[in-house]
Amino acid sequence: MSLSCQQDKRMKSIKTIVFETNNDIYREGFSDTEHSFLFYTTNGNNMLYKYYLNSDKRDTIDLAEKMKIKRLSRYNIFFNKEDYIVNYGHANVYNSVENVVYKLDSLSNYNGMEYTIALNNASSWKNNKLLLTNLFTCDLYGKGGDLTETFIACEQLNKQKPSYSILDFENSEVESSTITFKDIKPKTKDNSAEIWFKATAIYVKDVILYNNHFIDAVYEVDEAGSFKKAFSVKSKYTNFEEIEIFKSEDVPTVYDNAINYATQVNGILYDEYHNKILVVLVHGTKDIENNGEKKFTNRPFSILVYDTDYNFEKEYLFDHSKYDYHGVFVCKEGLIINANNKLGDAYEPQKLIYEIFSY
Amino acid sequence: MRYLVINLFVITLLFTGCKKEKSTNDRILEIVKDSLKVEKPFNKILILQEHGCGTCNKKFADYIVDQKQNDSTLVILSLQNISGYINADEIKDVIIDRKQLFYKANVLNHSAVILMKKNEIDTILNFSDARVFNQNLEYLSER
Repeated sequence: MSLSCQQDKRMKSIKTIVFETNNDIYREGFSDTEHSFLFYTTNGNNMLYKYYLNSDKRDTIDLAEKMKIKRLSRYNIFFNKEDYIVNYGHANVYNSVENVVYKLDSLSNYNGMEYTIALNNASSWKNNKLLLTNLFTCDLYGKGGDLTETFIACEQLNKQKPSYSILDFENSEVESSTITFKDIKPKTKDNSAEIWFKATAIYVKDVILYNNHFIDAVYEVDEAGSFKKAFSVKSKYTNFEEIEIFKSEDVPTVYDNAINYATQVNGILYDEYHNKILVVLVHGTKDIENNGEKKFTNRPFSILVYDTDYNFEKEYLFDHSKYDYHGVFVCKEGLIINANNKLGDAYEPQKLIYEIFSY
Repeated sequence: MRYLVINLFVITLLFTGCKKEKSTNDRILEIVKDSLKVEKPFNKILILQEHGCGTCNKKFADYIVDQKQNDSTLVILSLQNISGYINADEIKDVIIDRKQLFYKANVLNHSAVILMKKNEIDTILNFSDARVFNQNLEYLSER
């Protein structure tokens, strides 16, 4: 990434928060509520630990006990106020408000789909409905034939399937999105497999905003399912590039390289305090051979600010290796950002370190 | 003036020509010896990471616990979330690297075994592909 000589806009750091965990951290995050807190989970004992910001109060939740399961292994979790969602396995969603595990693969119209909340956030849960990113499986696997050809065929099929789902907790129903990858990238090629599954969907007022992370556009989807391009994601520091696979190397390597090095969005946030839409944009690495260590979270990123009419306002650069773009949350003061990046030079294991920024 | 330019060119060439790029093996040894302060020689170094093939890492963690570790084998747990994979107390010669130095330096992006010979790296067995995981493990057992 070549940084411009023009003055970069920086958010103002107003407070640093540090908590010793004395535990290995599996998942961590923040919840913006009346008494806001940081949290982390372990996967040794399935405990969730809460550290309140403005008091000495601590709290714990035994996730496995709450969910009435023996052990949680791979899972994702996010909070909305004091309530939380846990997504585990390929189609299980726990809602703490209802205290129910929804097994989406038991629904009558289940079609083998996998769901994830990994790249969604508190704004993806509204009016008792949850937005889930669809991860498809493909019926063509395991039926013989050339594996690469099967993979290409599956990718082409998946690009034409709904990009996300809406889980309606009240009615125990899952509704598929109308928008597909093919809609937002009609010229998707037959011999390439752009990464269609890395995406974020959030509610902003009455609409859904959807972005595939490797595409420089955010789409607005209304209640009827009609969609249109809302705005382009543009940065003065980086450009989106086409990612093509099957030209060389194996598929996992190309995927790894795309996720580790390519320019990509890592999330959309809605800041209800400022009434702004925020895009977390990770800058791509040029000349990977010589800059191989500038990968994954060890890369600069920007926060792009848009008003709710989708007009671009500002770009704030974060180029210190201590910040982790996976941990960006809205708070009353502005943003609270993970300042203990695991790949950063100053990483301190077994600590929660966050900074609060105003903008 | 012309001689000055030529001299400058020659000096630059000498400096750049003398600069030797470190190989991946050199960088791995540098992390083991300088950053992780491993002084004792080992024949095998087992490095568990959380990046790369998830299934391989889980299986590799099980292998580390189950193997009969001898004095010439060192285990490096190069991952942030150690308790999610393994109980470090069950391993004899173990180094904890929560800063994930191998992954961070981009020299090893998955679990691997380093086979040493005369204090130099002889072979690197990568545990990055579930399809050949067992073959690599068999090869390792024979060494």
